[in-house]
Amino acid sequence: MADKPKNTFEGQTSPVLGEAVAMDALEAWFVREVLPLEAVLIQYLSRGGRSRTDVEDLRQDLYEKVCAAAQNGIPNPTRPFVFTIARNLLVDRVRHEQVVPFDSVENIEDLSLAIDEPAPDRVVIARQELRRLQMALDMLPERQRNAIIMRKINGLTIREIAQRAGIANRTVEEHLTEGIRALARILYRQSPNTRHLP
Amino acid sequence: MSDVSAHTAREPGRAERIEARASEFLLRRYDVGGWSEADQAALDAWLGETLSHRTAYWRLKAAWLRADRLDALRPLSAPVGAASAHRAFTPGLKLAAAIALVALFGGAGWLLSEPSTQTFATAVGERSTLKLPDGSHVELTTNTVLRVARSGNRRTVWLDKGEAFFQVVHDDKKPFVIHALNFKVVDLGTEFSVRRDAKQIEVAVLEGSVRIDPPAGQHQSGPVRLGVGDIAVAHNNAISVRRKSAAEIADGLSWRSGILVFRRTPLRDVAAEFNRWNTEQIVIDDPATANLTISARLHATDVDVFARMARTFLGLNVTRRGDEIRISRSQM
Repeated sequence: MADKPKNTFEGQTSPVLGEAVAMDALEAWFVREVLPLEAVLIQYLSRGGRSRTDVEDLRQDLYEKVCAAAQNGIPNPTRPFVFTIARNLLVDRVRHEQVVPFDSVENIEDLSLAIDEPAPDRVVIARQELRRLQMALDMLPERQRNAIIMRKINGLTIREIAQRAGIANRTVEEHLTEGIRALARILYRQSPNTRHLP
Repeated sequence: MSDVSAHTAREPGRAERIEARASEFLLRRYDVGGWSEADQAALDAWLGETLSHRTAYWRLKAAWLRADRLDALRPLSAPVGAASAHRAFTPGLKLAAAIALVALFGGAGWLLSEPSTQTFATAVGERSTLKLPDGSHVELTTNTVLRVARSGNRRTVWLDKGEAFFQVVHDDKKPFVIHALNFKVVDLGTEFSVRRDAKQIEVAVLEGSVRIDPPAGQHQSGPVRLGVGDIAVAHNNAISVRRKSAAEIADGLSWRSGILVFRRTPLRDVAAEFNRWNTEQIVIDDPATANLTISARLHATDVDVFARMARTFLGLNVTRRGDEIRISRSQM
């Protein structure tokens, strides 16, 4: 990938296998190319009435396998690469499950069609991004939302939030960490093409 | 998290446990402060354990840093609440200010037609708190006119314009009555707000209860009793009541500290609200733009923040001419 990721490098390199991809390049690719597929992937992994816990664990496994494979070279294009791994993972899972979920491995290609659309221009992206963030905020439980608003919009410290809300620092931290996870779930589950305008 | 107690029996999955840990690292690194070398080493060690720790951390980090964009919604001035905290409950001064204001509103006809009342008014962008002789407090929002009966035996006020929040010292023998349009709002021991628009009144109850009496004989509804969390809209033909959460009621009353809270509010209503508070008037050109919804907490008298937000985040055209701020879709 040509562009240099600006995120700081986290941690040391994993065991090197041949021409391993640097961790920061892997992270940049993962965030830019893989995470936007999450909405469709979740749809796929949820088929056959799996529990939410199962689906999240599958997603977690999928990301691990995808990044492990990409360490040997960032794939291009990304989508078929990720979907092939997803299908293999499901086939493998279905083989080991006692009860085979109906409709679990089927027409994955149909789903990948759903997210092709020409890139909108920058203004539209900025607008959609704000709308997406605000919708995500709206969907959070009250306490998480309030904590995030006070932190991210009002710029208060955790201690200030605690004082203002009359609760312990630790409780604010809990609301925020839960908020981080819920926010990610909402942001990555909204299809990028979803139109929020009435 | 009492609201999810029904699910607590569920075993957290592997992904959930990893994410819980990742989010703790993230918060400590970006939000708690005092991130040390030892902290970094602990994070590195955890990330080095397995790639799935990394993917979970990357995923949450990307979302959390994305949310930094929200900070552009931050008002330009001091943090929310700080700016106006000192204004609340200084009844003596506020009363004087309000009386002075009445002098400015000298032409107000009611003073002549009903000499038994005293008039209090706020200018656009002003707030004011009155302490009445019976100990009750009334907070006036922007651009509001309230008349109070002078007679010692009656506790009657007339909301001629705008909105006010009432904290009433209850007295069964002397009901506190607010006249707005042709409705009467009767205190039954309570804190509540009354807002009067051109054709309707809105009553929101924060504590206790109140009763709305429609004009006798000519209204389809009988008297309606409201409790905590009720918001009633009363107009010509009907009185409708919705039950709201305490937080929603508090949002609606946040003007008491100079803040406006919007949740998925159409830009049309946001503009109308700002226009109550400011001499600068927001005009929205097309219906599609007016229908955009936003969520935000903004200073009532800081139109600039709103204008900036509309430009930066909604990608709208914002032009200013004199006292008019015109918002329209950008030409693309």
